[in-house]
Amino acid sequence: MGMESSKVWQRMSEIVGEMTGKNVGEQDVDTPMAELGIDSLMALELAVYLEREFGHRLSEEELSQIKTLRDIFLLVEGDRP
Amino acid sequence: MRQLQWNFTGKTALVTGGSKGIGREIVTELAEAGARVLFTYAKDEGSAQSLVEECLAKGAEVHAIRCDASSQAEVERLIDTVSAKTAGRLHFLVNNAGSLRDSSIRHMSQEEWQYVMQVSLGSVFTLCKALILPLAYSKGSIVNISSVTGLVGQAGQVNYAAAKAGLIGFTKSLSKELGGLGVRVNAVAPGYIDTNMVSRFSEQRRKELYASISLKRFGSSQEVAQCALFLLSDAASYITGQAYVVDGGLI
Repeated sequence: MGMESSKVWQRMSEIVGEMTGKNVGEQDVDTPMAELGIDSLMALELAVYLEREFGHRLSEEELSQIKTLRDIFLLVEGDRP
Repeated sequence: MRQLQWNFTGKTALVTGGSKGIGREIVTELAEAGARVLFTYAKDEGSAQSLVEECLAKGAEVHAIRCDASSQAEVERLIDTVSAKTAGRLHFLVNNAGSLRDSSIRHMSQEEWQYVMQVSLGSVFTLCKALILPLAYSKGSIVNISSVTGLVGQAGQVNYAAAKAGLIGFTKSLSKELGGLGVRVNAVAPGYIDTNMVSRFSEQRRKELYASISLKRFGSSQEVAQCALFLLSDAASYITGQAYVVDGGLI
């Protein structure tokens, strides 16, 4: 998928770094976020930040389905050209 | 008075202290605007039932839940009931429950102090803490009903004034915590509003009070509800952490 080169992924890893103090890499994208030290509210906050920065509005249903960083990445990056 | 028209179809709201006064008007207007409304009442089952029936007659979905906000156990039970009825989706939370135990400080008991602090402030903390996630999913909005008493003070109400002033600080702090989630938090501080809470004033006392109000009259519950609905709505999408004073220009 080439996530590492995506702007969305770069911002995601920056924000996660600020929130948790840890560096996340592509090996973490399918790990349940709780195991990365990201609780459900932090995950939502991350999604909402990305939504604002990348201009893709996420629905209530989408936000409630988030489990991993890949889920967020696909929601935000998914329908971009 | 011309009312603004809101459209809250598909939204779910929880209003505490919804059976009477300002809370009742907020429930009615949310329901008329198409929201599904859950509201709490402390004791007056008759008022709660009549409100449910009024709203049902207009085709709205409204549920009354008995919950005395002075009881921490009942507030915690309320959270379970709300979670079950909303399936984890909540768009609006209106913390309106309030109660008076007026007395000069010399005669105020510890119980009267604690009671008012729990109803107006403690219960709000518990509810907001428990409902952050369902509000965050929907990027919802919280409105806390404070009072001008919290801003200007009132003899005989150190408990009520402290709780209502505290609610404004709570609102401002929570707005900063939840801003990143897209959840807005605001307060409304009503002045003298024509509800049961002020109906005890004599005609003479009313006239004296009118002299201290720029608009020379008490406000209506509807005038407060309109401000609350505005703050809940997307029309206020860039407003958070504010306390709107609705007092007719109290001098």
